Amino acid sequence: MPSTQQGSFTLERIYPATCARVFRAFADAEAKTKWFAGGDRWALLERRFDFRVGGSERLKGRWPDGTISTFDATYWDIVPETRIVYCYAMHLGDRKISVSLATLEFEGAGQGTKLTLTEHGAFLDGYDDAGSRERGTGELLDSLGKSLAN
Amino acid sequence: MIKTVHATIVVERDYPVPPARVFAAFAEPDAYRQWHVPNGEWVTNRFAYDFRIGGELLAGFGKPGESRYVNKGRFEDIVPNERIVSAGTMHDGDTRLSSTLCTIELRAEKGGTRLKLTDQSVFYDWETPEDRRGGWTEIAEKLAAFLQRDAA
Repeated sequence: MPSTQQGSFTLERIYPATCARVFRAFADAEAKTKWFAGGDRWALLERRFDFRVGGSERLKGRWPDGTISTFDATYWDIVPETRIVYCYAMHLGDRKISVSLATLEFEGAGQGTKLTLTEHGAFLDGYDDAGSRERGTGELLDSLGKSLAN
Repeated sequence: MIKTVHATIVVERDYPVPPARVFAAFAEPDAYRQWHVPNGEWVTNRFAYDFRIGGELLAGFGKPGESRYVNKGRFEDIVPNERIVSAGTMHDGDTRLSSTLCTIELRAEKGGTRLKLTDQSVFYDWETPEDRRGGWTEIAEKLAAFLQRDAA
């Protein structure tokens, strides 16, 4: 019997960079590749990136324990330097574990940029997230910050 | 600039027919088209509905002859007779009003079906979570009337 558990979280980061630069870290394939990946021991299997309303993105890779994860997103709203909204499904192997709606909002904060990420998720069929999505997303936003420093 | 609003809206409703009948009202384009808009005076003027995982839907509706509102979406997950997850964007003309992750769950209960709809949305423009809740409540009522007609 399928089960579904909904949840939401919000993360904020302030980056010492312009809105244009932070927005570009999501909008440009090369800039996004610097931070949106699984780390040193993760192997990229497939990458697609079509950043436009109605466009889609895929990031598929293999983790050290052999698990293959797939991120499949569709972009629903893009307002340059202001907002990005996308829906994504996550698969672990053949199993779909979640479908989420993510909103990124960019605003000037002093000399830098405040990024607010709001994520609504539906976790499927007993997959116990236990906060791991929020932690993992937070780590990605920290990696983004490091990519801006280079 | 209008500040975005994030909301989660849950609407539950019981139908006196089995889950397979309620599911069919979502799964069959000709059935879905008959009840999916909230306002009783509105009609669907543009319609494309590819009910499969990864399939897309498009519905343009409004007063007769008009398609002021356009809903574009994609089916993200389908479990026959049990669950439908879709995501999409509602438009007023060319303006994007909101984007939504919508989960429909069906459960057999007391000879009928309990439908639970969870709408997780971000609103960009004039549409509000209250508008949305009112819309879903009307749509749930239209589905009840459709199922009654369908049974007759």
